[in-house]
Amino acid sequence: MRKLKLLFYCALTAAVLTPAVVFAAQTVTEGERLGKSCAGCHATNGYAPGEYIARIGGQNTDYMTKAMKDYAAGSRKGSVEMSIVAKGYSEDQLAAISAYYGSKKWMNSTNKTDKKLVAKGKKIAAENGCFDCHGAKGEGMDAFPRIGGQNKGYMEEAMKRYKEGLIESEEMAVVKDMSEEQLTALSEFFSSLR
Amino acid sequence: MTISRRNLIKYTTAAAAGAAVLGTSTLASAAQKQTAKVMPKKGKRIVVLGGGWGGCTAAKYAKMEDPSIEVILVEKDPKFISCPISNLVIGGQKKMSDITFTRDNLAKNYGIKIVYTEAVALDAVSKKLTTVDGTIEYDKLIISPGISYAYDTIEGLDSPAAIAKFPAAFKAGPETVALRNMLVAMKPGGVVVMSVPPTPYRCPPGPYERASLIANYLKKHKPGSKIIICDANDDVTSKGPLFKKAWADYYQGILEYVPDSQVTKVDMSTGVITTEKGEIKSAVANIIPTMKAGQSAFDLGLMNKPEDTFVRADAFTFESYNFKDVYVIGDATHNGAVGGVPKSGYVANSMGKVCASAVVRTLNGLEPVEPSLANTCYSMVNDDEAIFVSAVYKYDYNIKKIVSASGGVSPKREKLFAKHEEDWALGIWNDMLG
Ligand SMILES: Cc1cc2nc3c(=O)[nH]c(=O)nc-3n(C[C@H](O)[C@H](O)[C@H](O)COP(=O)(O)OP(=O)(O)OC[C@H]3O[C@@H](n4cnc5c(N)ncnc54)[C@H](O)[C@@H]3O)c2cc1C
Ligand code: HEC
Ligand code: HEC
Repeated sequence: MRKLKLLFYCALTAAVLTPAVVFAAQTVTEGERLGKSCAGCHATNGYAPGEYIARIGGQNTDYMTKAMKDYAAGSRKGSVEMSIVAKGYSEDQLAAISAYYGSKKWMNSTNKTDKKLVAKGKKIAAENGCFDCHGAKGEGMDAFPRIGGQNKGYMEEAMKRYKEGLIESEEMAVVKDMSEEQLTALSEFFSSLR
Repeated sequence: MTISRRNLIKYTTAAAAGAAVLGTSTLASAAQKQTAKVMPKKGKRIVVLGGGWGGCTAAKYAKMEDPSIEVILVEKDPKFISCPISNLVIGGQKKMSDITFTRDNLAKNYGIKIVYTEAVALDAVSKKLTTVDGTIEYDKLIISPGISYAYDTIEGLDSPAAIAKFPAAFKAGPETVALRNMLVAMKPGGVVVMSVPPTPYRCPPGPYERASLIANYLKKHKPGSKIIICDANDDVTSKGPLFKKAWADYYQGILEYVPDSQVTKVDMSTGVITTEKGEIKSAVANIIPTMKAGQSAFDLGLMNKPEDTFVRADAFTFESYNFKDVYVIGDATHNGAVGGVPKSGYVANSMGKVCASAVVRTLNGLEPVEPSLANTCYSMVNDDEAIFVSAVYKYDYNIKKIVSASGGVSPKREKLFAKHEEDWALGIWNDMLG
């Protein structure tokens, strides 16, 4: 039995170690040092698998930096967890953390979406100029957040906050007169967008 | 000795997946096996003992930081059963299958070798960890053994039968199922007793969340029943005003809270529970004893002072006071040494990352970087509302400990926080196991 295990391990070592790349990060950026603990809620690399916690890996850095500073200042009142968390870092640190997540590749949401709602949302989006600011695939740019492939529950909550004035944004005034049903359809659509 | 065809197939598959599974053989004497060197070391090697919240995170993040270092994870239980969300199994909202996972992705996605066996001894001089299946050499050893119960602090909790009658259910698994089944089987009108141990214990809000969910269950399914919380502490230890508000709003006459009433004795034949304040006849009793570090922390010689029940480790790297190159993380750490962080899964996850980085960097001849940690504990108070406590932690160079950088609790209970609790669990399970 003992010998057998030994054999097994030799085989295993060979199988696992051959392709190993020699790699050792000399420097750990401030963003990585501080940002790793966010993954306890946002998952590894910020690819949150749920519906209501946002994906942040690959989000646009400028937008994310602004959002983090707003959270720390308490000006995004509906975001209770984020307001507490962001206060734990300096402005420079928030910018570093945002750059760390912003540098990651975006991975689309795995949320299930409803075909009918997606079609409805697509129509509303086209009629209301969402693509003008957020891009044809919802990819955004700079201070315009990526919303294509974002988790749907989070987007719906965020849009309700723009609607209710809990987050102030002139650009997002377009949602002020929309119904909750319309916001649900828009979230389903943008979440499904690839 | 020849390799049977069946074994060969099994081993080939395991090797291909990068997963090492030691058969739990009953052959050969334990002593003989313990001396056998089962995994010859070639290059740099990190061994992680304990595949729970701290250990899985540390193993994964070590591999993410430097894939060229060999990482071996030693764990006795082939299943990963999550304590967080297990209160929802007790409350009836979730099933065991919702909180039960494998660690297969750690092998598949990161090339971590997982050995399912039990560690029994440590030779920190020649750097060898002994398991019941053989000895494993290491350059760095990270230990996240979790907690054990100090059964001897309660009279009458002295036999397997007594322990089975009063399950603590603070290690998710059979104890969780047992407690759930007892609640379901209880006749309406019965009294449920829950004891809260003195701090520090695993998951400060855990008992109160559970009491809320049991009250919620009794309210719906067991008319006339109630739950009495016998707290060894002088007040609710976490999110007190929020829990008390929920109890007043939802569970008047169903949930009774009694502070300063540590359980001192249990009687398994009558179900009578004795506390500092008197006796209660229980139909079901969830007795949560005083907690201490996982038994292996004692067996492996990690206790620094005779009176210690948790492990002292450096707050910058989590290297243990007792042994060089042996690190301790998670619930087993001593708050007097590492600082005032709660014993939570989130903190164990954060510690795992900090420690993995420190270990990888020192192995590569680099300075470890300053720790940064976070915590959040959500608690459900009924089927669809939750509350939470959140904090960010940093290293304080003056006192050489981890201190809070920000923190707070939810201003009130909300349905949205219940969604966040569910997503938090999905996120952190992914961060440990995905
Ligand atoms: C009911 C309940 C609810 C909770 N809710 C939350 C929550 O909402 N949020 C939160 O952050 N935390 C929560 N927690 C706390 C969380 O579960 C713990 O803090 C966390 O598990 C600690 O991680 P750990 O690595 O220290 O220990 P564990 O996760 O217990 O891991 C220890 C592992 O080591 C293994 N092991 C021990 N000794 C040996 C040995 N000799 N050989 C091999 N393997 C060994 C064990 O089998 C185990 O897998 C909750 C806990 C409970 C009980
Ligand atoms: C306790 C869990 C928790 C932790 C820890 C946490 N977050 Fe969040 N985060 C959330 C939740 C929940 C949301 C979305 C809902 C909301 O706005 O409240 C969110 C939203 C965000 C958003 C908004 C995304 C967008 O597209 O606008 C950003 C950015 C973000 N988090 C970054 C971070 C960073 C960076 C950290 C670590 C410093 C972090 N979060 C830590 C729970 C958490
Ligand atoms: C005039 C430009 C503009 C238009 C038009 C616009 N947006 Fe936005 N949108 C923004 C900006 C800028 C933000 C970030 C605002 C902030 O700082 O919070 C934003 C934020 C959002 C967010 C929150 C993203 C996140 O990660 O938190 C969502 C969701 C969103 N927009 C959806 C839409 C939809 C759907 C439409 C069409 C109905 C739309 N937007 C139209 C500019 C625009």
